[in-house]
Amino acid sequence: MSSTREQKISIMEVRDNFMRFEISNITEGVANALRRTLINDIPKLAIDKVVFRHGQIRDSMGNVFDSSLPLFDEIVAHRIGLIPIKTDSKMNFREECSCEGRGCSLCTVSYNIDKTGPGEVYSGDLVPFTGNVELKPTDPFIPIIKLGPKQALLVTAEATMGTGKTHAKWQVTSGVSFKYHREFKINKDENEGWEKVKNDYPKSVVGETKEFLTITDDYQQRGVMNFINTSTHRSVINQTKPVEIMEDKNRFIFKFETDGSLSAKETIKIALLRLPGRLNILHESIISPD
Amino acid sequence: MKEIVESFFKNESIVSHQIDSMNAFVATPDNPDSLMQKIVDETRLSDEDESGVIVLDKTKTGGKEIKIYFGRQKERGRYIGDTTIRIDMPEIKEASGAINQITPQEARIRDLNYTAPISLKLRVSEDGIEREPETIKIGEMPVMVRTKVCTLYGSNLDRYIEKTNGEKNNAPVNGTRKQKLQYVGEDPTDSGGYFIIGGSERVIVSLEDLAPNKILVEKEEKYETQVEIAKVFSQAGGYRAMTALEKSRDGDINVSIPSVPGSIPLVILMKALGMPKDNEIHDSIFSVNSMNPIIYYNLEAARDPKIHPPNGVVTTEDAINYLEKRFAAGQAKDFREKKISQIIDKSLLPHLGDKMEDRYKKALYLGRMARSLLELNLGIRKEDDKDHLSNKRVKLAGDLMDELFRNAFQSVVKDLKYQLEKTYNRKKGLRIKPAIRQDLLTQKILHAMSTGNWIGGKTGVSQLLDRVSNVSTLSHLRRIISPLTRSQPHFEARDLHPTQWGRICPNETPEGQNCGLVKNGALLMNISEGSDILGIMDFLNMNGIREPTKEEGQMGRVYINGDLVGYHEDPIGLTQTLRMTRRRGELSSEINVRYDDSTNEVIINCDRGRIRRPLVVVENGKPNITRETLEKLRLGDLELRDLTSIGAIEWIDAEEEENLYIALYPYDFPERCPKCDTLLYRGIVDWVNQGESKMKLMCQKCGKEFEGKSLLTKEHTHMEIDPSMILGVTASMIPYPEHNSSPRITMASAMTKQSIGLSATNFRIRTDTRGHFMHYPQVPLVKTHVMDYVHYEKRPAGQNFVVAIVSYQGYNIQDAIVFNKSAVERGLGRSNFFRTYTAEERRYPGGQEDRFEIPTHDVMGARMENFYMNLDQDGIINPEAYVEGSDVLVGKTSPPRFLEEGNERLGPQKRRESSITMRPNENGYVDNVILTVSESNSKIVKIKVRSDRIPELGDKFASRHGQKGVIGALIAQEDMPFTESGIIPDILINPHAIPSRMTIGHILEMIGGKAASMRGSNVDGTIFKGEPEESLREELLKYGLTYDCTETMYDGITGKRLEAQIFTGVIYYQKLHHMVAGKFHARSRGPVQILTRQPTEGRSRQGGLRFGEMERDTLIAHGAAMVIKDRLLDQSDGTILYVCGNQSCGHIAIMDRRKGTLRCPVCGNTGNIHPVETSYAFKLMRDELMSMGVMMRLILGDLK
Repeated sequence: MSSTREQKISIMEVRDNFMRFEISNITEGVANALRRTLINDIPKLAIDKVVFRHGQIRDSMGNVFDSSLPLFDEIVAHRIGLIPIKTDSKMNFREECSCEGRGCSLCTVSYNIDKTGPGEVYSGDLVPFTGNVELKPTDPFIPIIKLGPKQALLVTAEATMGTGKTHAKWQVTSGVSFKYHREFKINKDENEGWEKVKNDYPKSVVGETKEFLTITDDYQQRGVMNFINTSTHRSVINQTKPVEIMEDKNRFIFKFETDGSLSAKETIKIALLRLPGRLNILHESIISPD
Repeated sequence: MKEIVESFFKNESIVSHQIDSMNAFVATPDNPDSLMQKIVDETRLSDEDESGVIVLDKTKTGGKEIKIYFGRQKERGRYIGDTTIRIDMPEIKEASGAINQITPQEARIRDLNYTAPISLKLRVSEDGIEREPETIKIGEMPVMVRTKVCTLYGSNLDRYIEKTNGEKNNAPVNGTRKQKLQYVGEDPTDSGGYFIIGGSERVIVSLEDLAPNKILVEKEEKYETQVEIAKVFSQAGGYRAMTALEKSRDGDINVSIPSVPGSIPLVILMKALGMPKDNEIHDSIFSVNSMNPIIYYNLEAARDPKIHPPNGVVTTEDAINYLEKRFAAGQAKDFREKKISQIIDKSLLPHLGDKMEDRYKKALYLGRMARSLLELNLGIRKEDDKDHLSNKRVKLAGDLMDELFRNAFQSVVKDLKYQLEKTYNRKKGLRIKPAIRQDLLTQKILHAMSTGNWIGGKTGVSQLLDRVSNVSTLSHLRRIISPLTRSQPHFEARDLHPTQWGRICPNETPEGQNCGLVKNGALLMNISEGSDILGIMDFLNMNGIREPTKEEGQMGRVYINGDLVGYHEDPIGLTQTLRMTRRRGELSSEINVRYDDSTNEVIINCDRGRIRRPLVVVENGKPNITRETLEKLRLGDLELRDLTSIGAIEWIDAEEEENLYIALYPYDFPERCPKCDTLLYRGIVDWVNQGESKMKLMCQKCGKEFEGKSLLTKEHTHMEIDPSMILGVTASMIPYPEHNSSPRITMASAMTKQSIGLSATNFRIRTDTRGHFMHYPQVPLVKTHVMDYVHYEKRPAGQNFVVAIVSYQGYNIQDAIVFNKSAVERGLGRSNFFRTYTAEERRYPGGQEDRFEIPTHDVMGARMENFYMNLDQDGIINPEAYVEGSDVLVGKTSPPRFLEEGNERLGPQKRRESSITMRPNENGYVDNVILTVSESNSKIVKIKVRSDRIPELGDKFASRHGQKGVIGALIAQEDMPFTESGIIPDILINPHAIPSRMTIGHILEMIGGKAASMRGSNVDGTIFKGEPEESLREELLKYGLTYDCTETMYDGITGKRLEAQIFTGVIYYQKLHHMVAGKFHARSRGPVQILTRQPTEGRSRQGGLRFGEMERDTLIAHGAAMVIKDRLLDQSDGTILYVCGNQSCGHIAIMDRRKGTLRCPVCGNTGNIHPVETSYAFKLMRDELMSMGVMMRLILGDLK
């Protein structure tokens, strides 16, 4: 098995909120553990408690507004909960915090919205006021609600750390996936148009020997079948012996993106740190069966 | 031709048949010949009386001749003069006496009737001297929303808004119609077409009925032989009677008349009707020589002295004598004459008239019936097809209200006469106003409307409007039900009939017992309003029609509305001329004509209730419509009705359609666009030069024109406007239905009606007892054209799900669906459920009334204080309060039920607690509290409670292809299979759901949805003209997806690649209103019924789960006697009876609680009494037997 061989990571693309990399010589179990950690075990800040002010709301001018909204409170609370917030990964889970679950600046950030209608309320109106006030929504233009005339939204909210295991709002990543490294081998003798194929693809994915032309789809989102079926090459590729597909089941190309609460780099760092912790849980449950 | 359909839906409402029908009914100043006015004109107290007038009994008025005219007078067959009946705007008389105009929303909220006053103009003539006419309110009429008399109707609304502006000053007087509708609390796109009775919306469902006044011949099995029958459902005014002619095996033709026992020989009846000459009778029947033997046989039989002693029936007098002898034997001459007149003038064929002078007409008509009968007998004519739509008529709201009003008005007039005669006072003179009982009319109509029990024993005529989703509402308003009984098979009546094409939806019908009997109108259907017979008669007279006295050999017969009106030498030519005249607009477009070549007859119809559909007229292989007109139509310069008057479009009924040769499509086109090479389909090819000689088509993709091939020939008479219009509203919501198996379309249209979404935009202020609202409804990616016409994108009911067809460990076995839990957490499939609770401060006789308050300790049955904690000081709960199981919403106390109650000690009587509480198994937040007053000025409070419905295990979802399923598991995102691009499906459905159901449309929609989401524009899935499969697959390739729509997927749990390529796509799913939260139920102990002491039934009463007979059988099979005893006795109604052990007694003993002793009340025994365990039901039976004087003694003995 390949486990005897050395693991290797090569990073293919890094952006603030996006990353693509390759790990070779691991099993699919290990690859999947990393993927699952990325999805459900990266702690992040999300609003978990929303308190609405009901009844008459007055602004600084003394104008009276109504707390009745076009949307129900439950919907508004749910929407606020899903807004990604910049996260300080050093923050504690509330139940593990030194404040013993009471909520302090180490584990909780409080926000409020004070907006009067008519007009739209955006995530940018969610203003932190206790705790680390730097932790604002990542995108200030996520619409929350549209207020009619004489309507106002006065809300206080608390964000705490959590993981995707509990609720999807604590999920940092999206579009997490991996795939096997794959190469398509085209026999030059049997496919006359191989040169066209070669020219159509960027040099980084094309390899060439005397007999064969190899193309990898590492940089492509889509898989093998797509390559064969792409209409521009259908005429070129010999339909009876189209291409040979070489798959390496121990070489994985990962990719994921984050919602901006953490950077991609930070996220993968935390994931790799937390992975052994998860294995420890498994380990402990094996040695102490209760 | 899209312009025609678009114009239709722009100018006419989807429920215009309902609204038009009511508009023709209600009496408004602009419609002097309204149905209501006609009813008033025709009303008479008894058959002897003149219509439209009350004549008071001279003996009761002191010899004065008093006449009260309420209807118009008849002159030369028409009613003339000013209208006498009028309906005003809907209004309500408040308890204060003020009269206010109301809006539908006010009626809904305040539980009012949306009714308008009816006033009648009465003219009194006393001994020939006429008084000044008096206009008096006689009652109220329910108003159909959006008809002419509704507050929401165009100019009415403007006036209403202007009027109310005076008080509040914030009304949008100069606003748009939309703003105005919103101001009065209405959903601007609401269609109307329903009534509001007691605050709830009610629909009068259209009824399908056999066509009246039409001769139908059929063969019937009677007494094990086949007999031929000619039937006529004769209808005149509100009266309906069936006359049938029957030819027996041996040749006798007999007539059966309603309310007359037995049957009468035809010849004798014809003689009695004033046709004594045999040759006259013969001529009226005869058409071919082979008929002669039968006719002669019948003529002979009448003359035969042996059969009709002493001299046979020869003259009219003989015939009348025969009838008198049979039906009024041994009675006075006067009475005999009356009885016979009753039979032949009233019961026989009433549509021909009910006077002496109409008798000859009836004889001729009977002759014609006999002719049809004999023609059937001789095989010249075929049996009439009862299921053919030409033999059916649809009764709309207007017709049904006609029946109701006719009946109610009659009783008002009768009552008026009675009251006037009773209260007539010579000194004070005649006072009409106090003599009219307004309630009589109002109550009769309202009672029928609120229960659905119509006169004539019809039930279920008015139904509660379905507001689950917008399409279910529209579909309900277009429903047509057949009165045939549900229990009998009636297979033929349930079958889809070819004539239903374009008129009735072929797919939308319920499954099960009502299948095929409950139908729904197709999209472009309309129902004829009827037109006057005089216009067409004039036309026929001018075109050389002969009087119908005698059969004229080779000439064709001409019928109008089923009645023979004459003969014509050139029936084909006549039909042609008639059509041409109609196309020129010189004859009413309501007239339809057919030439029947098998019988050489011209059949003209202009009556009400025929389902018709529009078709484009084709002449000489060219449609009668030009590009220019279509363009004007598109710009709104022309309307559909303008097209009928220029003969471009005709409304065709099932009868006329038999004559036509209709082209489905006017043109054919190449497979690919010759200019841009895109795959062409009907949806993107337009014909751009109608009216020109060389056909030019245009590809919508590139906008370039090319030549097309015409499919129209010289033989074609008409052309389909759009074949996709054959479906009804719900079936039109399905994309690619032509690729599905038909039962699945039926199921899908049934489920569309259960899907929740945004049913109406005024849902926040609506007070429906139950309601749903979806949080993030979406417009489907794969749309149909009809969605634009019914504004589906504004009132959607569903979401586009990413679906993978793959099994998942068995959690999606048997149509279960695996849901992505994380997707649900992000808001997938969320909805709200509303329930409105209503409380009223009712008044009781004796001046007592209910009170909203927090019940104090001295109120009987008051709960602990903490139960009333959420209530405000006025006893009503605050909005946004969280409430759950049995919490009090409104604290209410009522006066004591009986005067004796609680009267043990002297002092003031205790009030009863009668609070309104939440249902025991529901919870939620108080959404809205509406406080208002009822019509009688008592307070009404309506509390709307909302609760979240987040998809959970067991909730039901369905695609638009009859693929329904319940959630089998909610799986975390990381455990779901994922694609290489990181897409995780929202749901996983099982592959086994597809092959046996053959829902290819489902597959196509998935492909279409995927293509649409990549392309960024909707895919058209309209029936017959949607984007074809090939085009969608090409689209997938273009965006780097696979041709077969599959994806490589990896198992989310193991990380291994799945062996198979997984078919994934995006498809519209609907959340159906069957949710676990509203259904789950369990009980250990709980309430029991008072009478039987057995557990109550049903979830709402926290009832027990029935351990039924079959369950009991399983325990018997196991021999588990103890378990049976436990279930059936201990956990049910087991009781201990104390039985007197006295062998001669065996009665039940009484326990004296104070002393703690037992005593038999019958024999006085106190010692020998034993407890016996029985079920309480047994004790109950013993008691009931005892009440009937049967004594059941329980004789006790030792176990052996």
